[in-house]
Amino acid sequence: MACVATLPTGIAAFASCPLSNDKQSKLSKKSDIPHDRDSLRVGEIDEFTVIADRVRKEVISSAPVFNLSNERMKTIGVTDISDALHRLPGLNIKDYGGAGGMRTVSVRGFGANHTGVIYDGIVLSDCQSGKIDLSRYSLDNVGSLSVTIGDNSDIFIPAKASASAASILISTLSVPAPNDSAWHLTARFRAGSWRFLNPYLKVGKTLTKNFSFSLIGEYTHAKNNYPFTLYNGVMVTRERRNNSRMNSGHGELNVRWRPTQASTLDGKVYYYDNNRQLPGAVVLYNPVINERLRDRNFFGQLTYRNLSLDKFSFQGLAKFNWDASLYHDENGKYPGGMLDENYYQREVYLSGSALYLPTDRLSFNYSADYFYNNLNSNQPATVEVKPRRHSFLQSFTGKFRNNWMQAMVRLLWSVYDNEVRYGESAKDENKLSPSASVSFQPFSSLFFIRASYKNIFRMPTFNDNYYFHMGSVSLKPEDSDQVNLGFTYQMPALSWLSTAVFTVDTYYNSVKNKIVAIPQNMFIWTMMNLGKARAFGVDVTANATFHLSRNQNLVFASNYSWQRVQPRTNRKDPDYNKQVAYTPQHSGAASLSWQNPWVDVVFHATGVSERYGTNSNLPVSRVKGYIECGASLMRTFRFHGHSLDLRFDLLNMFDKQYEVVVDYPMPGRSWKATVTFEP
Amino acid sequence: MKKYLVYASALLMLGGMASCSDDDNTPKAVETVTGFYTINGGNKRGNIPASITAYDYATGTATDDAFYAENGVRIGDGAQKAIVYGAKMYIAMYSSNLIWVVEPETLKIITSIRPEGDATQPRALAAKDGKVYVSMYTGYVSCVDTLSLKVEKSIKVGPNPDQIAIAGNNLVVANSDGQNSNGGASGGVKYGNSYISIVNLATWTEKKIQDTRKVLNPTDVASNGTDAFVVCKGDYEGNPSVVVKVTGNDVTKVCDGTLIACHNDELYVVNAPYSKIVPSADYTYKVYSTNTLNVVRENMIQRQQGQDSWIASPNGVAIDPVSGDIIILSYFLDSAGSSQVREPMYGNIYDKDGVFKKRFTCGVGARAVTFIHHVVNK
Repeated sequence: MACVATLPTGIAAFASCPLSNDKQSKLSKKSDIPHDRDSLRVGEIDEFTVIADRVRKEVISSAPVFNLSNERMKTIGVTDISDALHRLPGLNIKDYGGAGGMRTVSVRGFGANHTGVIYDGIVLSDCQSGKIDLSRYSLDNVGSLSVTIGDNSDIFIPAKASASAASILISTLSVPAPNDSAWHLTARFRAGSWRFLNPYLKVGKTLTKNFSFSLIGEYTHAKNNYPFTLYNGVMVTRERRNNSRMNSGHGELNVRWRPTQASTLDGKVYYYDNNRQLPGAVVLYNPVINERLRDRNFFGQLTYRNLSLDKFSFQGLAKFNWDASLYHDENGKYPGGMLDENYYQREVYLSGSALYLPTDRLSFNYSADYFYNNLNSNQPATVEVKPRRHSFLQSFTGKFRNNWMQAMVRLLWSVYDNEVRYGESAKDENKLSPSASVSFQPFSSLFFIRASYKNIFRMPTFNDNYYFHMGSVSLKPEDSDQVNLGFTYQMPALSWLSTAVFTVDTYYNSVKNKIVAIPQNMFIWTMMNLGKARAFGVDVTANATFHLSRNQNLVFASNYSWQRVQPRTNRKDPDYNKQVAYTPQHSGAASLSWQNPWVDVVFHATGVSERYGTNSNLPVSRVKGYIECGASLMRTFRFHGHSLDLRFDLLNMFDKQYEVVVDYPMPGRSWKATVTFEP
Repeated sequence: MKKYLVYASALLMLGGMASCSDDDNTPKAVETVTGFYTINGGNKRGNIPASITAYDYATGTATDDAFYAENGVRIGDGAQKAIVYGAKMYIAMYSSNLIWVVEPETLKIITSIRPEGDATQPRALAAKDGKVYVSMYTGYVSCVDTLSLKVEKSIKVGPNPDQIAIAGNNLVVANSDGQNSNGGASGGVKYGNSYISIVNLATWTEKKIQDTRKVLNPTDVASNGTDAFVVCKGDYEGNPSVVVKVTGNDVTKVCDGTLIACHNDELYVVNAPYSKIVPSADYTYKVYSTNTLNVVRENMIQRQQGQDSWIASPNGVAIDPVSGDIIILSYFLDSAGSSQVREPMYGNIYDKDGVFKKRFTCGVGARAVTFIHHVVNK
């Protein structure tokens, strides 16, 4: 493929640097890959092609794509998924703190339920709240984490993958390559403050030439009773989070079968179980809390890809998902002294996609998805509705590219049919959503300009529609428009500067028919399509690798976002043109890594500016900004073909007391130690 | 966290602010009122702490965050209601599970009472004969001795008791069953286990008025000392919010209504229905006779839309026990007509004839008014 060929080799380093000694071998392998072939046509897609493909996407993508590969995350000292998300621009992470705290992400001022989360190519769903808790996904098995704003330039995707304003893509480390018959074993043990224990084991092997598998098991225990400082006027006390313990397990089986040279069938069976206590919001003078939540999630998915035909490629997938959320609280105020709220949801998902490549420059994709979601609970018949939804999504995408530009147009047609077992069902919906993007290199291959537009909406969630007393069946979808203009500049490599890449993106987003809970009075809240909001801002990233000597590098990574997210419902309201609650105007992260033959050292910092608890930015509701700093030390030992990787992380090294969500204090200084052994 | 309550009290003592405990002679009926407090619940999710706004009659000014200004610490979470009794003021803190005992004039902390055991989460207060009675949301009424400032005894009442009031020798308790809003614990009848308790203060025994056709989701109680009236909020759906009078072991319906206050032989009723969306022009403000239950005045207040005398979204009504002035707390509305629950609120003061006197602003979530009594020995 032409574009890849034009890329200077330095760009590859951007996504998969460091260029430290032990990784050189990988990169040199990579350069053997015939770049002039479209990765999609390569019969056997191996890891390296995938990496190359991703690099290419990030640099020339017509919509903003920010990617963190596994290697890159290690290089810049990423500690967990929440930290990883902080290292990507434009994201606002809600974090309830500690090992067991829920984490949701909103992108560029869109609410968290506008963010799609795509796990190994398939969109995760939560029909109840519409928000995905990213704390479920540990980084241990993540091959890459990226955020796509607007449309991904990979057009060979299911329709549902293009149905969000922004997407977080999690790609796990895949099964061993077909020609590699060795056993692959990764054993990792991580321990940290407040009794954080996390063993991880992965086994993988190619059994026959056509069949490979990997099996992953992971367990996390955390007591999580970290201390925090409580400021109550003149009274400053040292407290501890209590009722915060978690026990969670995650198991995954991945298989890949290659019936022919150019077709693959990937299967995944996934189970996650997290039984945690909820420390709740800090209540002044009263530490008693008994809440518990157990999340259970099972899914199985199959993806079949056939790339054997000259001009056509096909992909089909099927998924079944089951999710249980089991909430338990004990308090004398409840009937019988306890409250149990159990919710169960299921999804059946089928998708088919066809890719047509009539010429080297043109490609077309048609995808058709069907998914069925339902929800039930243990709630009494008076409030149980048992909602279900049939969704039909079709997307048609055309893409043109030559050696200096790329343009893409997509139409997504969505049809949603709502049904309920009891009561009144929500409105059915069908909508056409256009999007378009273009990127080009006006001067040289080192400078890309991109512009994109996307119109998309989010359906009301089942909570929006049916939540007891609050839900409204007459809700319309929440509409959004987004426009992005940005560029990527790659500096020519110098003897002392192996890579330097800058991206700047500016955007303007608007949301209409925003679904908001409106109080009629103290007792009656109703979901309504009332709100209007707009967001605009700038996302900047700067990444550079300085070559100090033959085996020493300094790697600098940074991202900064300025964003204004303004309610625009009515000029007369006190929140008009203020900043939406819990949205900082400034946020960013930076890291500096010194790579050397002895011990790699990373310093990193993330920060956000002040926020308000209310949309009208009431002074009393102000939440202070913060900067959190950390450091990591890493060393890999190799002997007799084995590798032993040691890592030590110091988190929040200056013991900064801060909150992301009000009354959920974040942990202070803590440590984590990780030993990874790969025989 | 108990330790820093002690710390707070100790700190105040050190500062020479120790209070005297020579009060609790049965207060005389002759009294003056120098002002009032509004108890503001705040908004936890919006990071707005609970607070108290102090309104001073002499200066005609409202001071925000008076508790914090006086004590340097926050009042806590879930401030519900307060009463002045004797020389002390008691504040019920629901989420913080605490009863503050403070000086009525200044709000200076004297001490705090921590409910323990089964009877926790204070909701409302009433006082008589040297005892303060506190409804506990876990299903109890506790009796606090005003000399020892300790919980003396607790009695089991119905589920989720809310407001309480004293009528004769009885304590009338509104057991809202608020945690059974979906009817799961009562065969599908929403708030189906709610009832009114009549607790005999002499024998410390409970009688029930239980009939969900008449008494559904009772939450507010008002009394003139002899007669008690209860607001039964209904189910916010087909069953509207009604006001009933407790008559022996039964109740008599007075009218539809959502907020009440009692003053001598008059019952003040605001009806701003919950079950359907009604424009504020259709809200009614009436005064009834506590004896005949007939309307005495069709218009409790004189209000004019677009003027300060208008009430947009009433959230509390109180009558000055001496002057008869009427105080109504209200939310501001946003452009779509919904109550702004995360914004400061306002209170309107009308004289006893309903003539508008003044508007003042009060804190977020203002839900109750406590008058600052001064017992004058004549």
